[in-house]
Amino acid sequence: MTYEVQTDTRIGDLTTMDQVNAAQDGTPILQVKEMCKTFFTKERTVVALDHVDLSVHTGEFISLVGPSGCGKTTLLRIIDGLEQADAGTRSLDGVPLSGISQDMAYVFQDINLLPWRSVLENAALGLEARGMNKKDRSERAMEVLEMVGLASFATSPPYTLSGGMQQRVGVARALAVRPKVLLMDEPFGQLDNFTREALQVEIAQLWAKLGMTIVFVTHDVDEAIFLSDRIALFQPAPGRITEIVDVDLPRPRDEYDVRAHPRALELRSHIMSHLRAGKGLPQ
Amino acid sequence: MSMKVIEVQVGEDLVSTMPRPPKPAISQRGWTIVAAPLAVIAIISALWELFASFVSPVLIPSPQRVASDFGALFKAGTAQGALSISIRELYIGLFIGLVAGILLGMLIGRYSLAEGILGPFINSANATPLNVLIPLLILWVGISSKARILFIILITFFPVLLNTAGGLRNVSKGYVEVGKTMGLSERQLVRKVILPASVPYILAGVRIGVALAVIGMIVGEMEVSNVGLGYLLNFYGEGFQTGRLLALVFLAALIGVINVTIVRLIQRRFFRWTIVGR
Repeated sequence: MTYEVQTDTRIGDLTTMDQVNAAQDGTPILQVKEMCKTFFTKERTVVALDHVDLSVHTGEFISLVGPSGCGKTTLLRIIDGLEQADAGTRSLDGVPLSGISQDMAYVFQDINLLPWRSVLENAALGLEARGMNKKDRSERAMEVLEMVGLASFATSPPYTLSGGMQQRVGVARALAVRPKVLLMDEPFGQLDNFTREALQVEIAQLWAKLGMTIVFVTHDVDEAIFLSDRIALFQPAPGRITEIVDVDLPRPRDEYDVRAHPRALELRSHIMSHLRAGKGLPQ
Repeated sequence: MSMKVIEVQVGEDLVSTMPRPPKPAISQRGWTIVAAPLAVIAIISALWELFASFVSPVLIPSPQRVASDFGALFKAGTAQGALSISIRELYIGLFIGLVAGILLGMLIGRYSLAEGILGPFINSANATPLNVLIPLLILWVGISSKARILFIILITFFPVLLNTAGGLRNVSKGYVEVGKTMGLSERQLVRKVILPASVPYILAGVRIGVALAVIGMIVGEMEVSNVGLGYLLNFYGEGFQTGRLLALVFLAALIGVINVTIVRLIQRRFFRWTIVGR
């Protein structure tokens, strides 16, 4: 057994970072302005979003991070059109949106594959909505299943798949419609650590390969640092974005131990102290 | 002192020589499934036999007596005659009751206006012992096959309707959101998400309806006829022919079991995900 010792020169080599930046021209693909949302329950009133602005650049991977209940998921649902905002506007490529946009796709935390459909039919759901014929549909669905490594499970019913595999199908279902923006709501939150890390690497690779724009909600700071170009920090009650952090770490990040990278450590401690300083959080 | 040489096998050989875990004994389990009920039947028969030897055969005839009466009913053609009438009415009534119940249930589960208008009446009807309507049915269509079929329809209809409506209303919010965000239109959402998602509830309603339909068949014939299984049950009861009476009881039970089994097989064949999935 030989052990290969890697001396990775990429760490700290910021030229790769410049390439990444060059790929993104910095024009916003998605813009959210003055977004407000308040939830009223019998017990209390929660201001989930208080005049939130967000610009997402074309091709970037941006994460929304904050403690639970800070409004990050609400913002994602409003961006998609699943939730109605009280006030505020959203636009994609400069065009104002209302209702559910056909140019965005959503990946849910509780995957919700339809159990009466095969894996392939699940992946093809959005294509059926778009009126694609059966042959093209299965071709396209097969293509995305191959991307997530599940082509051989196409005819299986979803309940025969593990949690990680099910979420791969959830991702494939969203990718099948070739969205301009992929919205992911804590997609790996229900998975065990090993599966989660594997899927983080896969989604980073898919993002790099497909050149998509991804808006990713998580409360896992390490996950956000590993995946993102930028991280929007949320604070709760009222829900606001209080800072946006640039993650200036070289890519691809699965080729070195991001967590041990000095810059990542700095970012992590900065983010944690910022979040702790927010209301209602333990110091 | 001798040294033992331990041979170490590598690779596939190692795997192939490793003791395999015993295969799960499916056949053994299958055997238990057959054997256990048989044992229970044997015990019950023995107890029955014992009781019968102490009591008048008018109250409890022996198992052999019931078995021979069962055979006699078929040999004489009495059972076939009654069955041909009963079964026909059962399936006509059941079919109409199920279809009407499922269709109206979909309407009510889908449109809150329909539910607002019809809901109170349906809930009241479902809570009413429907055999109170038998005299009315007789007034309308006479002591006839029609009256009995109508009664079977009525008794099946309401539980199927309520289950179906409940199913449509209780479809997981997650499935609906998936459909919406993937861009399904309102119609597609109903056809591709809401209806399939309510299949487990609809099937539960069908199971109840199928069981109630057999009750409706027997009750209808007891009250409204001089034919069919229900009528024969009355006839042998009044005539103290307890052996034949019990033979018919088993026959009615058999019809119920067959119907429930058919539903189960349909569920296994066409809606397998409702059993193993979710």
